[in-house]
Amino acid sequence: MLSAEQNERITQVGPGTPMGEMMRRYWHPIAASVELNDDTPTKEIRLLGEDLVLYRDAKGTMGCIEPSCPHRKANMSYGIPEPEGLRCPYHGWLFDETGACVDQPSEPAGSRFKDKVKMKSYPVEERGGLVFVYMGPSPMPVLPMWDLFAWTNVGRRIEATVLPCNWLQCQENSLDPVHFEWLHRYYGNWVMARKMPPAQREDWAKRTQGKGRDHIKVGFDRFEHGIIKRRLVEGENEDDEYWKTGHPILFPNVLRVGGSDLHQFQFRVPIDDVTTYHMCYLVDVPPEGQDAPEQTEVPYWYRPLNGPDGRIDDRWVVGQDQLAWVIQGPRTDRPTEKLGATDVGLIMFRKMLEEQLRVVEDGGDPMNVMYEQPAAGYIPLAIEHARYPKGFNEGIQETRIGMVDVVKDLKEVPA
Amino acid sequence: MLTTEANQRLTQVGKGTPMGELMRRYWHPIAPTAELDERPTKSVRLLGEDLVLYKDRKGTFGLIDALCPHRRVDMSYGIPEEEGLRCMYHGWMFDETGQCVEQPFEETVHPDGRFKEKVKIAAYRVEELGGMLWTYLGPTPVPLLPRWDLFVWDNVLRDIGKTELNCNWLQCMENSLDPVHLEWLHGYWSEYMLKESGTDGVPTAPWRRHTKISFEPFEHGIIKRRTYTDTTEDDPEWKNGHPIVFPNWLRVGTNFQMRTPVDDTHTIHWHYDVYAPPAGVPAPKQDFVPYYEAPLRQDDGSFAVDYIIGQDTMAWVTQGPIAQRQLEKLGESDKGIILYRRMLQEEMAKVEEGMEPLNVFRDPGSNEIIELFQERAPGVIMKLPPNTVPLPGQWDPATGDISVAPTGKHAPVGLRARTTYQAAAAEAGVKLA
Repeated sequence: MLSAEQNERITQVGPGTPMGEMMRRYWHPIAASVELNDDTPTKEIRLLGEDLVLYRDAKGTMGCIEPSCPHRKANMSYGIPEPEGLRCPYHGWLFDETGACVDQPSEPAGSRFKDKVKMKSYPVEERGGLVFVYMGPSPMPVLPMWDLFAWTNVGRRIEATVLPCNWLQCQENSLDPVHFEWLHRYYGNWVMARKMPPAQREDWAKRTQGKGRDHIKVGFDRFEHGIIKRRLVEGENEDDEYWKTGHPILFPNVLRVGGSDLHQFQFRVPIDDVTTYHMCYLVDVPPEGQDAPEQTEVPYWYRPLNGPDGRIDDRWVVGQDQLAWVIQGPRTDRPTEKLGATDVGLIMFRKMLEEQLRVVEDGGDPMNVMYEQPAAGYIPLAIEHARYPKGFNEGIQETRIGMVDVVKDLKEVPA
Repeated sequence: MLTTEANQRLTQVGKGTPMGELMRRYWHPIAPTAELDERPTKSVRLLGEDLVLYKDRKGTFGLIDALCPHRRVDMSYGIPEEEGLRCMYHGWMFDETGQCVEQPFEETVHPDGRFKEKVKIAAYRVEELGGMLWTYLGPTPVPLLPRWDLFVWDNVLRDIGKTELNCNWLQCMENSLDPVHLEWLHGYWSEYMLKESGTDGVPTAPWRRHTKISFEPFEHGIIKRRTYTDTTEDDPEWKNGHPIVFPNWLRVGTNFQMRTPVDDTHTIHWHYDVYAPPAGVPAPKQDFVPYYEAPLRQDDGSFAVDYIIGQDTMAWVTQGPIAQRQLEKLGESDKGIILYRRMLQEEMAKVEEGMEPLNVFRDPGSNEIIELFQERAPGVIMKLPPNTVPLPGQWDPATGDISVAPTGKHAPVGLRARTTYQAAAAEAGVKLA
């Protein structure tokens, strides 16, 4: 339970708010590279409560600028990409990726008006098929080279969904292993029993049973990049890899999950206080001795939140998670919650958030702000593999539907 | 005209507001029983409170807080168990009293813990009557669920319609105290609008004007009477009139229109229709009372105004979320509304003084059936009365059947009531007049 003030402190992300200032110390993925192309060279985005326009100019340089042209306030998402930047459709003013106005064709020759016109702009970097933006103070940190961005001989893909809820609801769920046995196994089976033909129900039950036996213990440990989450279910002990290795939550808003032949990051990017861009970044590892198919681009799929019945699509694992987050409301009413033994991880995470908020307020750098890449070239993250044995994700490469369990089932579902 | 404050006093229905407290003295319909057989949970918002209605596997109905007190998820996605509703997030389970009865992981880690005993959420009583589920959000002792005649009659057919309106409940009710709108909204405008839109078979019945209207309080509400240019005080519209059932229902023919306040700016309009057979004809048995959604709008976004109540709902919704009564100018057509507002004020005052308002029943003997009267005998009209032409939305071109329900296109029984009874009469060897 938190006070109303504490709840605001860790959920508000606008400029000048404590959490907004901390979130501005990180690079955030806000689009897929393939979304910005010759046909759609601009994208209206909203990040940390600020409306922005992302664009790729005719030379391929990406920029992120404020949405309204400073001249007559027309929306730059209708702008024209040119070699030097983005040109406003209304009177042709041209801006580069630093926000500088570099051409004002309708002003008299020799005028120096344009030198006085500058737009807000933020640095953009592409990495592994994602487009990241940094909205914080300088010096600008590096975009960390997490392992999944560095691996070679793998296939990558991106699935995104915009969620009508605050980012923290998603992240707290990652500190809460016990929900698996209920939301994914028990509720999942109940849903599948109504929505799937019998053969597919059994398949779902088998898949969730392995991972979703009753929990007997959960554990959380701080490590240099966040928190390691551990759990034991019936029949396991602390010598098992599940417990020894666990899997990591990257501070402040990323989950790393999966193993063996399918790994993923889930980025919970705050669009504003009550909206989150949920990005699953999926990496498929080919069978040993085989080469992954060459990728010229990383495919992107926008996955709608709702299924064919107009309610949240709960026929897959991440969909069930999203359901649990969204139905807590736009921002969870934490002043009235009742926390118990299932929630020790998220209590620890909230404490860590508060501690890091203070680091930022004292002028320091919070966790995972780095100014150079590690000497090894990337940051390895330890992860348990045993719960995701090879072959678990069979068929996923061709379907591109995402997280695991119901890939085969979904293909059979009548619309 | 009312002041802004008086308008708020009549329209706000949240807990602790004067009207909210008056409304909390009554049972309100929340769902057709059949709906819970199709899907065992349902989100219910009533008098500004967010709740979840469920039917557990033993068949007990519960109505509890929408959000699980643990991590605040919406339990309309919960799982009904043998006895209670289980949250799908971490498996906490609640019974119909709102008591938390299971907290699985807590019990694994702290087998002797008593956390669950301290967790209780709001819960309201649910009862079933006439194919609908009802609840009561007010103080104890809980009054009886009134057994109004239409819910209790046997040997009839029924169906239940529902329309969600984005306006305050009082707009719907005031319309029922205002007979004159009939000649304009349902007569003059209806004909104009249907002709303009090129609709075939536009009613061309003679346009009747009101010559006199009258309103009288009676034990259950207000009786509304009228005469038209072609009727007198000996006709049933004046002699019998028809009742407004306090505080928020209209009874017309064998139909209740129940205007259930969702919150200050939303209302569910329930159409509860009973189709009584012609004399001597047995009504086929219904295994359950079917329900339907009567649409407020058509696919293109415009109001569905090809049936009477569709025209009414258009008028209510276009008054805005809460009608600005401080700007209105009332005249002779509105004296029923003025009487009704006064009655609302009086009954709110009673509640504020700790007394019981109108239509709260506590005596089982007089609650076996509460009879209301209607202008005409209750049987389904088997032939169109002379000079009446149905609106397109109430008429089936294939069979020529007329619906007394809000819309024949949607009502599962309404449109077929006449053919059903014709067949039943034939089978029973009853000759229809």
